[in-house]
Amino acid sequence: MGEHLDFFADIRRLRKDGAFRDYRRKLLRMAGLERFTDRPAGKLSGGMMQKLSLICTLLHHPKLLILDEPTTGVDPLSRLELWEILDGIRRGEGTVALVSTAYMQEAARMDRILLFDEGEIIATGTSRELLLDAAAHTYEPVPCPSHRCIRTGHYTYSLDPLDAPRKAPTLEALFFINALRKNKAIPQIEVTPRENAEPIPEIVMEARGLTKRFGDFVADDHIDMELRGGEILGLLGANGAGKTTFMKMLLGLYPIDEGELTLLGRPIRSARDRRELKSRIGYVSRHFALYKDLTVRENLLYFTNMHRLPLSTAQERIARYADELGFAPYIDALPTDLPLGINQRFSLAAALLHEPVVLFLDEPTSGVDAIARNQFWQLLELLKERWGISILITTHYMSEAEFCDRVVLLKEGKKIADDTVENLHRRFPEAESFEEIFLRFYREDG
Amino acid sequence: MGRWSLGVGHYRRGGPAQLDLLLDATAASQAFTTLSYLHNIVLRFSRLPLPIEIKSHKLFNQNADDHSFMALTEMLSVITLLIVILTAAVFVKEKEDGTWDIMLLMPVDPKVTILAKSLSQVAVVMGGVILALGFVVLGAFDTPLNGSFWAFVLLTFCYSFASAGIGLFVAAVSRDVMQVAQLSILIMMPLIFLSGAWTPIHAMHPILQTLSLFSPLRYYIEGSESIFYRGTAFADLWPDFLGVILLGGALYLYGFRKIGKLF
Repeated sequence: MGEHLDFFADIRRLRKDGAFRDYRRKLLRMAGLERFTDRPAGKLSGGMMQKLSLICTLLHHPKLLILDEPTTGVDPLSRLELWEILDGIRRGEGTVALVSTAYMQEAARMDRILLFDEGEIIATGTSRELLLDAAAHTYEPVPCPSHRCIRTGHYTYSLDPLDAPRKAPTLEALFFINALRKNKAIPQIEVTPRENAEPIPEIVMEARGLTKRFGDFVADDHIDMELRGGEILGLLGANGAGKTTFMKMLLGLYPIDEGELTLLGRPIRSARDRRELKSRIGYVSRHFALYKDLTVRENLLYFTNMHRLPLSTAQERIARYADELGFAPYIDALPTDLPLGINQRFSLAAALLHEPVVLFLDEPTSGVDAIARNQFWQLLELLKERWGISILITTHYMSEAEFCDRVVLLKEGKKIADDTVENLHRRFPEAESFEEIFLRFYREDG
Repeated sequence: MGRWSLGVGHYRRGGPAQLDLLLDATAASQAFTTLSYLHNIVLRFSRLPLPIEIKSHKLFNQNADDHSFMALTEMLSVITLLIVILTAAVFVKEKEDGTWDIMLLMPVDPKVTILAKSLSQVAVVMGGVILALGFVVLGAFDTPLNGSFWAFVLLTFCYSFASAGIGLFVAAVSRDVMQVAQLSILIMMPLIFLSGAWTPIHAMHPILQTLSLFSPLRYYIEGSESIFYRGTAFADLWPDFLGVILLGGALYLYGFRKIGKLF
């Protein structure tokens, strides 16, 4: 890490005098990285890596700073720290910063905001101006009377005045209102009940003291967790907290070092125990892992083949999911040519083709825009309702925790909370959003 | 050797001495090296004021073209490299793209998956070999094919498992395609060097000669040269087939086990 800083100083031909060393130390202190200067950059967590690249670009006191989604995929705590560094520099050095971001809470902190949608600027102004504009169209979630209205999980947006209590909007509202103004139809998502009526056990997954070590590093430290039938369980935590590792242990992608796991009523001890369960589990990995040189249809057919579905059933299901999840127009395109939101839905379809009873989703919404994210959650709700499926999901977006029935918070491989979202809000009545609750937990214990 | 000493005897007695030499030119580089050594030796004699005359007759490959030999051995080496890299790349690309995890979660026996994915690459290379053979080796370079074409195809098929095995091993230990490229070259260079593709095996140091017994490429090249130049009958090719099948089977099994552990 120290070498990175020296390298960036060298290519900028900075003189390494006392002032430089002081400034370097100041930056490192702001980033909380002082202790790690000897660590190879490859061994830093995602958040630390972003902070390192930020301070590397700050070394030469730039007048203009352009940051392209510096916080995508970074956990709330590291994000907050990143903004603190940036704010400090902006005030102290008078640097102009041009930042792009997909997190609306972050946008709200900026002096001026430009909202982009499909290559156009749809709104510009300060956060307060924009929210004032959106407030006129935002209501508590009530059913929509007309097509000039959209209902999401927590809000209803309408162009025409509604006879419903108003609700304070967030910046995300502007995207929905823009879509309404442009008369852009947001495809309605539908889910038909599954064909096999296999009963779902009351407790789908039960983990007792699951532990995973990588050398000396304990990625997951004796974690107990339970996933019940028909439940959406959110697994939250900072980068490197052990969320993905935990999920991979459940799936058998990493061997379990210690602890006991019961999946769908069956104790898991060997690979053989898992083989029969594979056809009842669906998994969407973080990068929407699909074959890039096969079209959407070919990808889906490939997976149905692996699950030994008869061709007629496979084709019928693929056509149905394509319609219901709204990717039918893209079915013969290559995944690399498609927007992330479409890829996300079609990887979910790939995981649903064999009608599993439990779904494991690893950060399925990172990097996806607000409208697509919202649709995705509607889809999960429908699946839970119509299929009675259980879902374990990891996410970086704390606002999404509110969609989960229950959340588990991980920190440095340990479980620090396991409760329903309502109970957590009750415990911290003054917290306005779940993000605040998360930060509270993380800071209290640390 | 007998003729050599006989010739020397004649010469010593003052009579006209004749030296007959028969070299197996189908072992091309070997024969060429030997011939030029002998030329040098005899030329040293001819510097003495003695009546000496050298006559060489070429029965095989009269124009002493090396391209007909080079084309074949180069193709054999390239086949090796291609199968290793393609097989390894198939698996490592899945690791990189994350489809590997999806594959592991499919209700299919991992052995079937490994076999299917490595066989597909063998099939691709077999197709390429037949094209390269037809258009380039036999077409453009006019290399003679005196033996059975199908014997060569069968030998290539058996050999491709040796290469695929190395590919599976490379895939098991590499994290990305970059590492595959580096590791493949590192493993392939000694294998090709020890096979006799570039240097005649009998001109190597004895230790290297022994080591070359462990290069499956050696048997593959020897077998192929026998088929192409000598027109050896299928039944007499068994030592080469045996070497290729034994080493190839062992390598494939090793690679298969190694990558199977990741499943």
